[in-house]
Amino acid sequence: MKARLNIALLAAAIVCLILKGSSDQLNLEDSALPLALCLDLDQNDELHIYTSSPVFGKNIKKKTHEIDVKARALRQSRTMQNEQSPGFVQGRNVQVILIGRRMLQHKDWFRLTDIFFRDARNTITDRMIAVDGPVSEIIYLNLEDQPMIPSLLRGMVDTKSAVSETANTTAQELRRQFIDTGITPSMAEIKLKNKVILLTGTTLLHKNGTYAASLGPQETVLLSILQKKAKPGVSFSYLIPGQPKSGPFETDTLSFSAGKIKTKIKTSYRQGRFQFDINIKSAVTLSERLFPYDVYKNANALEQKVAEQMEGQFESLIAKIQQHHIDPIGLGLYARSYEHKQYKKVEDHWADELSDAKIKVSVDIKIGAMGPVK
Amino acid sequence: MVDQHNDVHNEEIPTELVKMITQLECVFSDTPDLIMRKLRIKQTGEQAVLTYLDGLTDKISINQDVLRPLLFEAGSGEAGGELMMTVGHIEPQLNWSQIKLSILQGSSVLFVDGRSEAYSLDTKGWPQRAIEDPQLEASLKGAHQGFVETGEQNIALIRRYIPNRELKLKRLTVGQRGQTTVSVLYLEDVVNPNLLKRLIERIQQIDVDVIINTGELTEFIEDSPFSIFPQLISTERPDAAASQILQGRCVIVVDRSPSVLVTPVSFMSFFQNVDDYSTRWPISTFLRLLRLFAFFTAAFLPGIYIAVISYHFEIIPLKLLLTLGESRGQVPFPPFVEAIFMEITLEMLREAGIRLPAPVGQTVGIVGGIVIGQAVVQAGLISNIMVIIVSFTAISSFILPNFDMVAAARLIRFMLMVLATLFGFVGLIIGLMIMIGHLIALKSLGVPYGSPFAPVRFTDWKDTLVRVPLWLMNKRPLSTTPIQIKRQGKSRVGEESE
Amino acid sequence: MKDYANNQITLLQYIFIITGLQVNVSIVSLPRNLAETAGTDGWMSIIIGWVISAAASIAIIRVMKNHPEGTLLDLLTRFMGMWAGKVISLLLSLYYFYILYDGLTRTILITKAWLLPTIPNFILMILLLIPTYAIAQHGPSVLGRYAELIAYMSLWIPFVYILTLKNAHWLHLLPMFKDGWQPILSAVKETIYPSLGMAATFILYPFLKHKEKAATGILISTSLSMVVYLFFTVICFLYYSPDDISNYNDVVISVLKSIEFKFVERIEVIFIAYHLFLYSLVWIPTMYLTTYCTSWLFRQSDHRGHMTWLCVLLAIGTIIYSPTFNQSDRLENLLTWIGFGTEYVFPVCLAVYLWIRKSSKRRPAHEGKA
Repeated sequence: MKARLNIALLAAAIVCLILKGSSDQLNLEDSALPLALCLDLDQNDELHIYTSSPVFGKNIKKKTHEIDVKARALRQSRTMQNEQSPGFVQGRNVQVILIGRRMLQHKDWFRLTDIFFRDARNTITDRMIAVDGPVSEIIYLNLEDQPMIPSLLRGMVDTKSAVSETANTTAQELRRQFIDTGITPSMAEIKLKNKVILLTGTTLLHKNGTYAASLGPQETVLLSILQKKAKPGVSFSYLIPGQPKSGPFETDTLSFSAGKIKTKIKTSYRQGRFQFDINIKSAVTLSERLFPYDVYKNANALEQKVAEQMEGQFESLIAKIQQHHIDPIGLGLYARSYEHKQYKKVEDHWADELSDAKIKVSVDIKIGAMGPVK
Repeated sequence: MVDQHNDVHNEEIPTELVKMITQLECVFSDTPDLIMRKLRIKQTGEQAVLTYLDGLTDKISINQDVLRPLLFEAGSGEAGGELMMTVGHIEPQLNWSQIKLSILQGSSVLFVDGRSEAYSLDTKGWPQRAIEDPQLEASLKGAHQGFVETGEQNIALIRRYIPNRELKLKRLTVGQRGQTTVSVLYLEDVVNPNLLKRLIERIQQIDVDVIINTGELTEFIEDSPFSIFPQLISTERPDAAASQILQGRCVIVVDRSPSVLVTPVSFMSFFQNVDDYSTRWPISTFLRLLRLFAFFTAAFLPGIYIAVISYHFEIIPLKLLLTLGESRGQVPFPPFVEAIFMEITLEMLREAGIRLPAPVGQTVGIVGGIVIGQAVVQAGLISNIMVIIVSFTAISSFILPNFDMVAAARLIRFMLMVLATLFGFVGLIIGLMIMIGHLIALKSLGVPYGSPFAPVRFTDWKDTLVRVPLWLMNKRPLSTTPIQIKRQGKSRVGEESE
Repeated sequence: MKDYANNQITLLQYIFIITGLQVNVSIVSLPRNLAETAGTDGWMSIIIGWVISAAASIAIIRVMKNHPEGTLLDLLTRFMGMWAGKVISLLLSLYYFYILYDGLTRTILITKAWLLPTIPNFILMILLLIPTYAIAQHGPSVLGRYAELIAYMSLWIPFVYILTLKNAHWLHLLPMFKDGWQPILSAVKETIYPSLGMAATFILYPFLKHKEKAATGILISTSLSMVVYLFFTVICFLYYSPDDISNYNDVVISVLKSIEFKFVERIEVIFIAYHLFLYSLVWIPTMYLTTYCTSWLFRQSDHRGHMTWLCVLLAIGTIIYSPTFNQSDRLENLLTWIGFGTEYVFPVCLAVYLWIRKSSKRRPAHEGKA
């Protein structure tokens, strides 16, 4: 009797499961998967949302399908995108998110990205990229000799950020940079020039999301050293003063790649302002020396010269940061950890406070190896 | 079974030969292969009848060892004196039922006029197969003798490995009509007496016509008859059976069946193989892990495919996503239909391959190769990833050593495919949860089936996922709850000091 | 009344049952709750909470030692009479049911939020009840084996979480004691809900194989839970900005989304699905405990009949009503206080009562058996 009851209940349960299950089923081929999501404003300051999805099919020449809709918000744009696409638009596979320069002229655009975090099935590791120029140019650029734009951009950001030449900012990381009081946002920057996409470096934003400044590749490397994110292998090249130049060739160039870089940041609060002493240590490998020099004997002098050059660069970078009232390094985190009380007073306008701070950078370079030739 | 001749069933045998013959003819009516040879015994001068079933007896033995001495050799000449025959085993029988049984089992029975007892003579000799290489469980390094259809020979094959007086044998008869001899072999000083008692009780409770095969016996004595997991191992290798006995298990030999049953066993026993102990231990460890992986692949892979395609395609790497999308885009069926179509094709091919004679079997292989191969993809019926998945599950199920476990994996696969269709990964996890719950609650002869993982018995792990060197396995597996735990002493003493 | 000898659980199984009852759905929001009250100092509250729950667990064992061959219900019947046993068995079964219901509804909410957004609640409930019934019906020894096996199977989870350390910001933890002791102490309250589950000892004690080691066992399991909590909390604190962490509902799951593998994208989907195993460690034992208490109340030797009806009740109940996220949060808050009463205050009071009773009995010197 009892066994029969159990079997009956189990059967009822299974019937329920089969009838009511699979409500969330959505097959791969029935969905449209935007790999790139782009936000931009047009001339009339109207929000455009572009997506670029791959097209599944053997005989179709163009591999991607671009959709452009005008919308108030991202989720709301989904319906309009669905109207134009063969399947249901899903935000699950987005690889890159492009933000146009016009967006960055207005504050609080970041709030539009709420959907990335609120819809649990959306990815949050998509790379954020700022476009220097209108986004539509890039998204409709159909390159014959390149992979589709989303994977091209993703690949560019991933490889370049591996050598610290651009910021590898995911959506999650960008959110942190927006919400954490001790840091201001930064993300990769691209530009279209003569139908070629260039990864120009890093875009720095103000705390409210407006554009502040751009950094070139070399400056980005320096920034990532300050952020303690630089991986071994980043390379530098300098013109060493006092070395002979020959004709059109800049034979006073010295290039090297850094080994493991140790960055130490000391935080203090003195005389009503924050003070950061940053010390950078690294052993480098020479990769290019275009002038005669006896590294065996005079290594110290060369190291000194390089260090000076680097310090100069760091200082100008920091000056730039302070001038724009931003903190892409995240010095606020240090201030919060080591000078908690003082920081708490100024945390709402930390970037302004930082522009007032005293930041000193010292560089210790050791030439560890000079390659197979002397 | 109803005996029409109940009246003669337990009756004593009549002393007069004529009466006896009529009774015999009455009992064995319509049995033309029953031979009744009337003769006069030269030794005693008495009239006698030798009865046997043609075909079940060894004719040479009857002629040489029974008829010749009885007919030609002189004896005491007194009636009632001892009969001299050169047969190994002569047993005086007093009642009919025993006589009937011994005739039916191939003995010949000698009735002598004027005596109240008959003699059953061991002249058994039925058509028999020679001992051959085991068919299902081929081994690279193990012995090449497999069990045959004669129980006594099978027992002898096992005894050859364990010539020890502690190897005991309980003989039981199962089946009213079949009277199958079922023997339980065990080491008396090792096996847990409770287990043995439980096993014997279960066998004694069986009330059926006949047990044709070990498989039938299994259904009557296993713990959970509704489970899809096999709870007894059947093997056709004497060396495997012997090593199981040495681990404290019982072996059930069923007469007329070319495989024996081993009990109690655990889930992991199905992933072990005799060759594991004759190959080097790192290799057999690797093989063990490979088999376990194969089991889960065989059970889960199509389910995972369905779950990924119809619920969680975000986990597919970008490059694969593009090719997969392209391939799926041409397939008109949902993933579940696609998968079930391919899996059923595979199962049909496999079944066809097993049953068909070898020459036709090749054709099946070729046809299957074409169907499962590129043709379905080119026709746009199936995506190419699905073909890979099906081949992968097929290969995985081929490397498992035990056929029963493969069958279980196949069934689980289909259930998981349904669950994955309904609920994606959540369904798969729930399926795994049910499977784990079932495995840890399951028992084989009252012993936990999930051992040594649930309950965890670390000492047994030496012979599960890894197979440590034999000289380190000094204990018998605890999962069989042996009364003698120590298996061996230290064979490589001073290993460290060298 | 019950067959204790045939359903024995080993010490290790006991440890994992208790740890499983503590570490489950409750862990998902713990870091957020701690951060809301105490910021990134919240991890220190875990250690304080651990001291308190260790003390409470010792009290529970103290109580149970008075009547080692029976459950709490038998113990109360012996010392306080039939009706005390009946009342407590009713209350205890309601308490276990509360934990069971909370665990199930939380699991459903999490699964719906992360994996299957549109599925009807009762379908998910039925889906979860099938393995629950299949495992819980076999009683403590199978529960023990399940908890043990899942514990070992889940050993890889910490390694996955360690992967998130790639984006860790150790500076978040500094400075310690930013706002003094006060927020840390008030956050201890948040650790009560995740520590609930020790009360399973009330029923499981007689099933223990080595009762003399029960105190060690329960201490190990509370410590183990503490280590797990500490680990996950610190991981979340390191990853999320202290200004942002309170914006995430299920921090422990959200943090997984940051993991990137080279060969599989969005690997977190699999991990989140796997988490069901961890969550199952709360509903499966409590399912048994609830029906044990009710079947004790009605003097039935088999708990399976009640279990069937409990499953039916849960399935049908979910069709009629299932809590929203906010309601579930409120249920949890309530459970914190009920649980505090049941698992912290009640055993301490009982231990004191039994101790007074015993020492007063000793003077007249009769019934000296402990």
